[in-house]
Amino acid sequence: MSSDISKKLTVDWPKNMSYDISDQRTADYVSERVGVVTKRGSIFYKKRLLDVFLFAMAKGKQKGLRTPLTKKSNSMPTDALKEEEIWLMSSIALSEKNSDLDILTKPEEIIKICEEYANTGVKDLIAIDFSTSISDPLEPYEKLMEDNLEKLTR
Amino acid sequence: MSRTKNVLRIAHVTLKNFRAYAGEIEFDLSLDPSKTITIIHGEMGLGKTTILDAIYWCLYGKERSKKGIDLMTEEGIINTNILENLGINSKDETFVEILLHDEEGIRFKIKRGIQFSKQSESTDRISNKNLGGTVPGGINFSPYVEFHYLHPSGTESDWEVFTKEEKVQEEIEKIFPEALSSYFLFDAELLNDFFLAEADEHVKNGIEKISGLPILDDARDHLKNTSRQIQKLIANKEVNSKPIADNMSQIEQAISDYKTKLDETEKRLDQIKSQKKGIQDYLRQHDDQEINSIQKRLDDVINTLKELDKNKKENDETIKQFLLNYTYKLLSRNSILETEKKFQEWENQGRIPLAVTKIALQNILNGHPATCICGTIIKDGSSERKKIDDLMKRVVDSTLIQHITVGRSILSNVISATDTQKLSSALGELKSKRGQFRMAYSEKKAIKDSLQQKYDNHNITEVQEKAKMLRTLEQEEITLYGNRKTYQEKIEFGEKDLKGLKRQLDAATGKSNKYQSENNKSKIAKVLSDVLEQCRNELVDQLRNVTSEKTTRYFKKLVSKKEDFARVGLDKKEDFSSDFARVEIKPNYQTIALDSNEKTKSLSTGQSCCLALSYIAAIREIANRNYFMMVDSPLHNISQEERVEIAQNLPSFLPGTQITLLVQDQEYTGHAKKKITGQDIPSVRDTLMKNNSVWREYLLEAKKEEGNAVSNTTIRKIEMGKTQ
Repeated sequence: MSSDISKKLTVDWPKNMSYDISDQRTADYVSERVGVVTKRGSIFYKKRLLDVFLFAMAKGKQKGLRTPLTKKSNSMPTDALKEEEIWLMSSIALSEKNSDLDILTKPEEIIKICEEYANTGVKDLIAIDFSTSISDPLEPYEKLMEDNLEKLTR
Repeated sequence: MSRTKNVLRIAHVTLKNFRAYAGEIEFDLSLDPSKTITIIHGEMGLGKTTILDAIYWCLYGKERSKKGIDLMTEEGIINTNILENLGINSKDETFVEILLHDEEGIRFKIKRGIQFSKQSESTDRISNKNLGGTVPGGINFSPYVEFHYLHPSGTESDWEVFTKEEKVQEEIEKIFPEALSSYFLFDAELLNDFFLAEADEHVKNGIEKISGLPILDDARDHLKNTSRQIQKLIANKEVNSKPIADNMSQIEQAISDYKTKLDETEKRLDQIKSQKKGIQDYLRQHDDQEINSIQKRLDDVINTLKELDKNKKENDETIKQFLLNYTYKLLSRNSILETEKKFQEWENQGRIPLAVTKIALQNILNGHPATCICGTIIKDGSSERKKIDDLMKRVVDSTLIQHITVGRSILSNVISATDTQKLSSALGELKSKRGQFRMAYSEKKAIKDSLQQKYDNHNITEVQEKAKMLRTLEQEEITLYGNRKTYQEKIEFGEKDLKGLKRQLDAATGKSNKYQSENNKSKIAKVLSDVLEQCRNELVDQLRNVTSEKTTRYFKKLVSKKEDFARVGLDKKEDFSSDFARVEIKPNYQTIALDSNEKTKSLSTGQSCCLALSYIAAIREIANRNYFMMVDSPLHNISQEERVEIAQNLPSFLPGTQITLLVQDQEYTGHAKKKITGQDIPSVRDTLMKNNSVWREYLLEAKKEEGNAVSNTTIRKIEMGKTQ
C-alpha cells in the first residue's frame, strides 16, 4: 500500500530526469552505450544509470555544491525510481536550507535540486573512475565509505 | 740410494699456464704435524680439481681420470688463452713443480713441463693426446721432466737430478706408486661410490694393489703354463700321445678364445653398469612416478585455486553490492537527519496534524453557518474563524500526510541501516574475508607455480627415451650375464678336460723313462703353481680381514660422535656408534657395516663418506705410507651436520697426515639451520678454526685483466682469523 502512496507522490513528477550532457566527459561517462555501466570491472557495471545518478547526487550533496545543468539528457525515467529512492531524493530537497514542507508538492523543484547535486557529484565519480586500478576497482569506493564512516563517528 | 718414505708431505706447489691458471701461481702446504690441514677454497669452476689434476700429471705424466682412462678434453693441459695469443716466434711453457719432504729431511723436487714455440699462423686445430686436448696448429711442443733428490745431509749443490722419463718414472714409482695414488689424491667420486654400493671394485683394487697379487697371479699362471708346455712337448715326440697333445692344444685354444670373450663381456658389462648408473641417476630425478605425483598435486592445487578464485569473486561481488547499497545512503545520512529534524519542527507547529486534516477544517468552514463539531457557530471575523483560516493555510492535505508518514518511516529505516558501527563492522568482516581468500590464493598460487616449474622441467619425451634405453641396456646385460656364465662354464669344462687329458698324457708319457727329467720339471712347475694359488688365497683372506679390522677402527673413530644416527633410520637404537659393531669386507669384496647382531646397517651419504675415508685410511696404513692426502670436494652431497661432524673428527682421524682439502665456498663457509629445532649448524670453516686445525687457507679467485676477455684464476692466501 505504501508503494502505491509513494507512486501517487510521483504522479505529477516529470517523466525523465537528466544529466548535464553539455560536458563530453560526463556525457561519455553516463552513456548507456559506452559509459560506466558497460565497463567490466567498474562498480556500476550492469547497473542502471539511476544508480549512478543517486550515487553522484549523494556525493554532490555531501560536497554541498549544486551545479546547474546546461544540456539535459532526459535519459532517466522517473517511474523506475523505487520508493526508498524517491524519499532519498525528497530528503535531499527537503534538507535544503530554505526548503519548506510544500516542496513535496513541487516535484520539478526536487528533481532540479537533485540533478544539480548529481551534476557536481558525477565529476567526482569520473575522477574516481580515472584513478581506479584495474586490479582493485573497488578500492577508492571502499576508501570513500571508510572516510565517511570515520567522519560520522567523530 | 736410500729412500725413507713413510711420511711424505708436499711443501710447495708451482703451476704455470696449467689449464685455468694463466701465468704462474704457487702455494705452500702444511709441514706442521700438529696443524696438518690446508684449505683451498673457491667458487665452482675456478680450478680446484685442476690442482689435483696438475699434481697427478706432474707425478705420472698423464691425466688423472675417474676410470683410469686418459681424457681428451677440449681444453687441454696448456691454458687455452696463452696458446691462442702466442705470437709468431714467441715461446712459453707450461709446468707443474712440486717439492716434497719426508720425515727424515729428504727432499724431492719433481718438475714436469711442456715448452712451446709458435712457428707459423694456422687456423688448424690439432688433437694432441699428450696435451690432453685440441691445440692450434703451427706450434711446436717439447715435453720435459726433472726429478731432483737431496739427502738430508746434502747442500743445495748436492741435488741429484734425473731427466730421462723412464728413470724418473722408476724413481717416482719407488716412492709413490701410481697404483696407490687414488688413496692420496682423490675426489668425491670415490667417496660417493661407497654410498652407491659400488665400492666392491675399489676395495678389490685396493687390496690387490697393496698385496702384489698381480705378480703372484702372473707367476702362478706362468708355472701352470710351463708345466703344460713341457707335457705337450713330450707328447709331440711320442706317436701315441700326439693325438692327446693335439686335443689339448685345441682345448687350450678354445679356452683362450673363451677367456678373450669373457674379458670383452666383462668390459661391456662394466660399460653397461656405468651407462645404467647415469640413466638411473637421471631417471631418479625425472621418473614417471615423480611426474605423475607432480601432475596430481598440480591438478589438486589448480582445483583449489579455482575454488578460491570463485570464493574470492563472490566475496568481491558482495563487497561491491555492499558499497553500492550503502555508500550513497551513508553520504545522504546527514541530509536525512536534517529532514527528520524539519519534519519534527513542522509537526510541533501542527502543520502535520495527526487528528485534524485539511478536509475536516474545510468541512467546518463549508457549513451555513459554519458550525464546529461541538455545535458552536463560527462567525466570520471571529477569533475562531481566524484560527481555522490560519490552520487551513499551513496544514497539508491528508494524502500528503500519509505520504509523509510512510516517507519518514522509510528514511528512519535508512538511518538505522547506515548506523556507522554496523557498517564499519560489516565492511571490516567482508574485507577480512577477502584478505583470507587473497592470502590463501597467493599461497596456493606459489605452490602451483613451483609445481608447474618442476613439471615443465621434466622433459617427458627424454625421460621415456632414457627409460627405453635403460630397458635395452638391461636386456643386453641379461644376455651378457648369460654369455658370461656360458664362457665361464666352457672354460671350467675345458680346464676339466685338460686335466683329464693331462692325466692321459701323464700315463702315456710317464711309461717311458726317457722323458723322466722333463716330467719332473713339469711336476715341479705344477706343484709350485698350486702352492702359489694357495698362497694367493691365504694372502687375500688375510688382507681382507686386516683391511676390515682397520676400516672398522677408523670408521668408529670418525663416526663416534654421531648422536643422531637414529634419525636416518639405521635402527631403532638411539646411537649408531654404540650399536655399530664392525665393517666386513666379504670374499666378493662387498663392504658392509654390521651391528652387534651381525645385521647389515644401511648408511646415509655422510656415513658412506666416512666409511670410504676409513677404508682409504686403512689401505694407507697397510701400505705403510703416511703420505699427504689431497681431497677434492670431500664435503659434496652430504648434509651440513655431517660436514661439520667430519670436520670435527678429521684432524684426530689421521694424526700427523698432511691433509689438503679443495672445497667449494658454500660447502666450506655456509651455515645452516636444523630443520625442526631451527638451531644453527656452524660452518665447516668455523668448526675447523675453533679446533685450531687449519694451518693456512687459500682462496681461488677469478681475475679479469684489462683487454682480456677471458678471466684467469688466481690464488690468494687468507690471513688466519680473518674472513675473506
